[in-house]
Amino acid sequence: MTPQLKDPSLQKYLSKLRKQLQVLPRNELEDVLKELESHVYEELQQGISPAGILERLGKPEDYARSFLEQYSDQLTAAGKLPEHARFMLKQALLPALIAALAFIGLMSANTLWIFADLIQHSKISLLRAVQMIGFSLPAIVVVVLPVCALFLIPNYIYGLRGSRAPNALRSPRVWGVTLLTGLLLSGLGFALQELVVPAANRQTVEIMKDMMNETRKKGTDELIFSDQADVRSLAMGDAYQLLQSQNAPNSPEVRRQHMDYYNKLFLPMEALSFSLYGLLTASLMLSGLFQPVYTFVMIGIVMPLGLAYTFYAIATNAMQTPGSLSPLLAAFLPDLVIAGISLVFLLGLLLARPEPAND
Amino acid sequence: MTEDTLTKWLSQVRRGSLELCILGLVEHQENYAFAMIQALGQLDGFILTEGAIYPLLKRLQSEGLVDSYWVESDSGPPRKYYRLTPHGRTMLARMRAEWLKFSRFVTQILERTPADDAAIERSQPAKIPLEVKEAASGSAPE
Repeated sequence: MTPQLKDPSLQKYLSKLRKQLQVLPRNELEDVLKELESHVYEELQQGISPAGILERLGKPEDYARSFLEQYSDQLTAAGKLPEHARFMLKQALLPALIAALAFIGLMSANTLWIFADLIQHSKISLLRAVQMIGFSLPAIVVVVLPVCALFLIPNYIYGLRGSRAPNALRSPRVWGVTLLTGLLLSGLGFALQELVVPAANRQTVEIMKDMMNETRKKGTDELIFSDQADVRSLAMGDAYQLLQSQNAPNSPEVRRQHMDYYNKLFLPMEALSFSLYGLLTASLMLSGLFQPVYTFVMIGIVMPLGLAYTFYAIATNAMQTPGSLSPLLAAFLPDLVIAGISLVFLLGLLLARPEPAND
Repeated sequence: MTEDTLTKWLSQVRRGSLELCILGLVEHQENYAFAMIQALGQLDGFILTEGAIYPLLKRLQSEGLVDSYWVESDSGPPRKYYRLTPHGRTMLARMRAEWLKFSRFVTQILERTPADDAAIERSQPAKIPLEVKEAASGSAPE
């Protein structure tokens, strides 16, 4: 390497470009960078200054974009779903990760606050609290992932297709989809933060306190683990079963609160979030920006999660109904379901992958 | 505004023919991208950015029209040379025929004189489409 190639501005450009092109297969990435280095060397030999070279090259993001578009088109044409999914995840991983962490933080803060309150008033022991938080973690993760997917799709499309490209900026369709996506996401975020979390806090604390007072009054054993119905873990149709199975230890007041929570909060919120999800997917598909391959990947991600969530709720119920299912099996059922469905999905991808089109 | 329109049109025309130019530049001997940029730069105003040519070369390569190899150099970094594949050669022959046909046609249009236009008008029964249209609309059920 000549001393001139080591010019800090040129090296900075190359490392920025490397970062932008990180999603390409390694050998292709090295090839692109090596060729550009060779090009820069030739220009330096011609007596062009590093500043002049950089001006001709344009921004690293713009230089990278056509390579990325080409790679994406190539994957689409070849129908390489696993690679496409990987590409998509790499493109949108960081924002999705931030969304996930923020959301998990929010949900955990809520749960931790409830338990701190209970421990402070000596309602439950620290050990039991840790046990219960551990049990509610899968529920939190399952709720978090679809929300992350919502962030992932638009980020992928606009990151890759370049919303800064003049044509895209002039298109009302792109603006429409961007606005709609933003509105839906912020609406969902608002609803989750302003409505569900505080309400769930209040409801859960009230219900738990109630249940504990109930057991204390009756002079029965200390509240057992399976009595703790974390109401946030209920899914469609489960509230009914839960109420039926729990008529003995709970007062009518507690049952009313369960039903209240289910009818007024959980049911509308679940319906709302599912319809938002559907609306988002549909609008992206209608816009023409959303290629079938992405739809397929998204459905592949969301379906197993939805199913796993339902099974999680069933497992929770089973643990509250003695004798219906081994507690150990119930605790691991959601994980088994996720693992099984993922396996089937991946197997399908591998088997259904068409050969790359040759000309 | 007029200059703008001209520049825009010119760059569109040139971008459209870039693929063919590049295949032409590697037809008889292998070539590297920097030399191709310089060769194309000889045409006044054909300023080609690296952002256009490198992705295009990569695409031509993935479509199997050209292939490439690295040549080590004593003085600087290695150079990447491109050459036409047999498939690229067949494609170039077909593209060349199409291009020549097309450019002859465009030239023919642009070099037409008023007398040519008049001759064309006389040879075409211009009234017929109108009459057909009228007849058709008259008999069409409402």
